[in-house]
Amino acid sequence: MMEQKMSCERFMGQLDAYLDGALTAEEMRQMEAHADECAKCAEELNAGRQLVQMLRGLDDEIVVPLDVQAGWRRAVRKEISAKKRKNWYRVLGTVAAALVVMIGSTFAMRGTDMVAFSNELSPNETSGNTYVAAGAPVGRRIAAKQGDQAKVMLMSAADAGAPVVFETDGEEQQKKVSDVVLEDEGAMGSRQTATASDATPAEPLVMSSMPATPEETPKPTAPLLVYGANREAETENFDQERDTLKALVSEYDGYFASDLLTQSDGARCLTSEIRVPAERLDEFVTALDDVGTTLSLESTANDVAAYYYDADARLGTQQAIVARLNQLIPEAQGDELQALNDQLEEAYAAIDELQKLLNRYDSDISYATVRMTLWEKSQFAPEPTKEPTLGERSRSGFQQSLHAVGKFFRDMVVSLAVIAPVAGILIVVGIVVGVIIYTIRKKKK
Amino acid sequence: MRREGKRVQTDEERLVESAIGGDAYAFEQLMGKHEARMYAVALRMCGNREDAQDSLQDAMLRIYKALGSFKGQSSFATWAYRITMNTCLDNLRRKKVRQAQSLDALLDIGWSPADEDASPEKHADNAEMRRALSRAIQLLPEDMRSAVVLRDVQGYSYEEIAEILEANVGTVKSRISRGREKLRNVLSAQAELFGRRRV
Repeated sequence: MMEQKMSCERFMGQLDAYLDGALTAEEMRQMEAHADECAKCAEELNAGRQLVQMLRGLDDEIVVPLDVQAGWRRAVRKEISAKKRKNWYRVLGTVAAALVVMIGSTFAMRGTDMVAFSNELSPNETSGNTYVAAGAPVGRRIAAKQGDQAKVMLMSAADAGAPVVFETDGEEQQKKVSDVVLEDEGAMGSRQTATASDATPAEPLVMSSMPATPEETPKPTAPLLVYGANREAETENFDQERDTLKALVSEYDGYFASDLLTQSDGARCLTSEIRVPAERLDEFVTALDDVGTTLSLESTANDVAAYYYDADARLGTQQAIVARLNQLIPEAQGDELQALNDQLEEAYAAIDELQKLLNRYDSDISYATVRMTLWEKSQFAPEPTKEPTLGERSRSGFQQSLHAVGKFFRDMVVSLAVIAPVAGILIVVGIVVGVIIYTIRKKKK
Repeated sequence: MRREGKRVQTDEERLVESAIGGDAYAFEQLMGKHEARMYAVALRMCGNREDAQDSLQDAMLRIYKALGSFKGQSSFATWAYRITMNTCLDNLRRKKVRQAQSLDALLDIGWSPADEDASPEKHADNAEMRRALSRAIQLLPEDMRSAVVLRDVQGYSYEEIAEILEANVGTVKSRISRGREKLRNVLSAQAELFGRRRV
């Protein structure tokens, strides 16, 4: 269809589109036709063409100067390392914050009595406490001096209530082990710690404990023997001999049931209760000669048959009671049922106790008990105490501080454990939220 | 970016990823191809080397910081040039460059950015024309200047320019039209001044 003649107005309106090649072939033809006829429009068309042509090549020859090239590259690299450093600071800041929290809470926890922290002594430390520990099983003797803090191993919870005899200058005092803190009740031979807070001896004293007296029973035929040995020795090379002792014990398949290290006037004393297989006792005792110089040595053998069979008999009785109760209970009801259940519970408890006792005897029979006291002998005649040198004081101070730091970190671990449940929950929540946000972000992409 | 199934990453995408991760070299590779055009545009918009350098540097930094938010909705180049153009306009506004629009200013042939940075091979007979043109571009209002530079000097399409300038195509066409008109006037004045006649 033929269009009407193009007006100059329309021409000018389409000029740019023409220059951009955005018109159809027909439209372009019309534009050119008009230009053929209209001088002014033709001039505009030419000017437009020329302009566009000039503009087109205008920046072809622009070269980016080297300093410009280097400039932005340098700026971007600086930005990248700044960002990395910021990340680092953030990490450090978080770690520092966490440390502050942990340290702060450790101090806070120490202030309260919420958590049990360690009370260990550092090697050079002596406490001014005067409480003394007590021990339990048969024939156990422990030497301690006034002013010493002591810890000792008990063999089982049953020892907790055992009566303890304190011997001071020939006079005897009977006390009870109280305030027992058991680290783990468990099988025979497990190590447990008890600290008695109930004794203030005025003199150096020696304690022994007595076993509970068994019921009278007809003495059975076969003896059950518990073997043991007691040795005292002294040495100048305390640490060396201590290590020798440890090596010996493991060499003879034994173990340390208790360990007590005390110190007074700079001289240390190691009291150990060692268990070795009964059949190896004699060899072991002979080998002990190498550990320090023997001051005294005795061998013991105790017959525990009476106690053993007594306990065994009582166990049988209780088990019979349990069997009988189990017969009655299905038939019973109401108050009677309640009463029977109570009795059943009591019986089970008694069985537990007796079983433990018997286990202990079994252990004592199969493993001999060697009690060893190693005294540190000073090399020189006691001289008036010198003022510690600067070197000694610094070393001592350093050691104490080191130990305190070690204690502190152990305490921190404990308080961390206290915080851990709360922190754990927060972390889990944080992770869940983070994952959710991340998933949402990914989906949005 | 919505992933339709698993498709192989383009070089550009890989470079973008590395750059986001802190790889400076990857970023330089990525932007290396666009450097010259970005600089040319900055030079045309700002009118002098110093401002162009600053704008280019600012633009590069802005691009780097914004890499994480590039969603692939436009081509990377268009996105980068948009940031460049915005940076130039921001700088211009900050410097409050006053545009003298009088024809008399065109008589001042003087220094043209193309001169300093162009390679030695120049077309001698067009030299004066080009200088006048460069100057004239500088005198255009920013909105027209940006449209004309992108269309006629850099060769972008209407749609691309619309994306870069964040305006619609109609506005872009209008600005191009008006810009060219002004420049045509300059050219004819120049021609008259030097006694040249066009056919």
